[in-house]
Amino acid sequence: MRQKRILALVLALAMTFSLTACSGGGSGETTAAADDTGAAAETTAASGDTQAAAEGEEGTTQEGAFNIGVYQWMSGNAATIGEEMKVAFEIAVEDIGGTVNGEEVNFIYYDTTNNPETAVTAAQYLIGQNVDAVIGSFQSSDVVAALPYLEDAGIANVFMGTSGSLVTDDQKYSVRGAFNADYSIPQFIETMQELQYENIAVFYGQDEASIANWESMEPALEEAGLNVVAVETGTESDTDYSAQCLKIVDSNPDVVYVVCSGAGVNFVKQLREYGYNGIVMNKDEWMTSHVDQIGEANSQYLMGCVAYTTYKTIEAAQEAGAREEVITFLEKFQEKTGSLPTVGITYRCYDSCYLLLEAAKRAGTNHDSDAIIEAMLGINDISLCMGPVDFTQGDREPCHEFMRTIYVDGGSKNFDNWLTDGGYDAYKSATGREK
Amino acid sequence: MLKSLIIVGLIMGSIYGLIGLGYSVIYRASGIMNLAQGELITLSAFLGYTFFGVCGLPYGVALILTVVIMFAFGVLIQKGLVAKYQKRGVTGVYMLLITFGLSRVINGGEALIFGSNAKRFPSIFNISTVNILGAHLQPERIMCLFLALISMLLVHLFMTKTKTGIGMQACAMHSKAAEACGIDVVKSNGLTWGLASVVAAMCGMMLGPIYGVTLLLGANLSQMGFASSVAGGMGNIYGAMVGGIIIGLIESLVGGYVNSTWKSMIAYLILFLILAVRPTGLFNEQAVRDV
Repeated sequence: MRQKRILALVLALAMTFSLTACSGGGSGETTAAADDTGAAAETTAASGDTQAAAEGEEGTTQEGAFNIGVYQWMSGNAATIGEEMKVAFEIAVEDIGGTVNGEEVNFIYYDTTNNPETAVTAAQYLIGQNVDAVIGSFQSSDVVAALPYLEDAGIANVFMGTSGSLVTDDQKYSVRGAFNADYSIPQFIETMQELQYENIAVFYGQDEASIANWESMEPALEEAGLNVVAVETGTESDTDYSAQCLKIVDSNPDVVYVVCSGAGVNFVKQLREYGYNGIVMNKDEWMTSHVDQIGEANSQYLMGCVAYTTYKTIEAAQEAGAREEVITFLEKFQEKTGSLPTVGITYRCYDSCYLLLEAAKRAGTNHDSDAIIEAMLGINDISLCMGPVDFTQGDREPCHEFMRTIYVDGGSKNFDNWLTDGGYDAYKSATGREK
Repeated sequence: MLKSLIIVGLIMGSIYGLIGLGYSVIYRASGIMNLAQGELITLSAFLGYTFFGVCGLPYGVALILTVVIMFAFGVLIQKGLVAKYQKRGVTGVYMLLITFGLSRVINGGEALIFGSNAKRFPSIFNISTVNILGAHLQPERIMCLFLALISMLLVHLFMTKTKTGIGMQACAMHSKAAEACGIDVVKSNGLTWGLASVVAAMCGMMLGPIYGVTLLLGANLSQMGFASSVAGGMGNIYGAMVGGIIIGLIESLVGGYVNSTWKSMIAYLILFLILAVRPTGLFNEQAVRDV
């Protein structure tokens, strides 16, 4: 009997530890040497000592290096993002010249495992490591959690989240290195008016970024005189959206606006299956990974107002009118990995990293956060994947231009060209829709 | 819209019922609450995706292969894990912990072997939607409804009309007495887990084309499947289906007329109500006692 109790206790402890590992246990690693691509060691530490990235270890700073902490979801469903991010960082370091202010660049990673509580742990860990600067997560919920700690510690940090509410006036050390999703709202509204849409259905996710975007979109729709005929919600982790899809289809909208973490991929798939074949305006870029997940047919007529999107080939990017900076980045990425990025977040990673390195270079120091941020907020003369960077408009945002895209016939196309080339008439014919 | 919501509710309910059937089979025949059933569904979906989507085998062949592999896997779990712990006297809540741990191990194995990215399970049929009384539905969803009903009937007939099935139930009631009557308890227990895994295989092969294959596929849906089997009376084959349909209809109607974020909450509140009125479920299934 006693043995049974001991066995039960051991089992319970084992399961508790495994649950902790699965749900909240972030892990960090130093990438100064030996990562999946194998080239980071040369890039970040061209000569001299390198620190082996031991799996499971949280990593440490290197003396005499520009130590950049990175907190981001990099495992599980985001494993691809983690891998592409490291390549993007590598390219950014190469593009800046390999060193910054004479110092090698050393990244210390901390996996937030899709858990804002772990993002807090990550921030505290990186602060404890005395990193010089931080690159923050693409997940707005992580940024919301970690940012106050980084601000209090006075560490320059560039985050990749796109939620409109992330940038506030009281921030001193935090800057966005990506686009503000709310800035695309006027273009979406303009597009709706251009196509003479009147009735709009909305699906928004329960994550922080999606709720914030909907809270900005709702008054904009009202101001534009557009009718919101259905508003449904759900989470990325929901499996079935039948009720939501039925209500939206039943409301007979001219267009459906989707704002949800993960681009609401499963929702879009089910929406199509429940009979809605019209244009879906998606706040997030519609990526090749999304197409892979739900198929070409379900991806047809997904429209976005984005800073960038993913492409299957470089030729497709050129044909779609992608920026020169995007093409250049794609070529370098392909050279390193043999393939193109599958997620748009990879562009954010490159831009954020490059901005931080460039700011440090202009500041003349890697170890003074005030100087780095001051230099960052003066940048208005470079162009990255997001387009022309201009921090001097007084809003602490780098990106003010978006391009309209539409996924049609197997690839992302420039929306304006698609309209001009008769794509909209072809769409109405194919779908039988009046609008 | 009411018509559409009812049809969708029935279909979702049949999915939950089919999942709940897996829980009920094992509980009825072995007295064990198997918390790994959800992960068996996910594993089946991954296997089906591999055979049908990656290898390009016909769907029927992929289904048979998945069913056979999962049957063998179920028997292996019973003989390699469950039986060994039962021999040491592990029962009740401790066995529950074992099945929970098993679910984590299987999930970790899935991530390792198949990767973490969501996979697109190709459509079984060439048409993407069919119109049923004004509701556009995926043909795979309609197939789920018929499959669930057929599975329920077949499992019930197997458990009540065949010597093997009756023997499985006898083992659950009292293994020593069953053994004394000449029933091969070891074989019977193995068959129980094999059968539950076959039900999981059917679920996985149906759910994959509808929702895609992700690491959370079985875990997310099995919560409602478990609730279905509890609502109907844990261990009752028909009860799992009826419980599933009730929960599916509630979810659908609440999502359609109230608020989609409340649908699960209200479904569980209704479950509490059912249990408050009928503590052993709608079909008054007495819990199998620990021996």
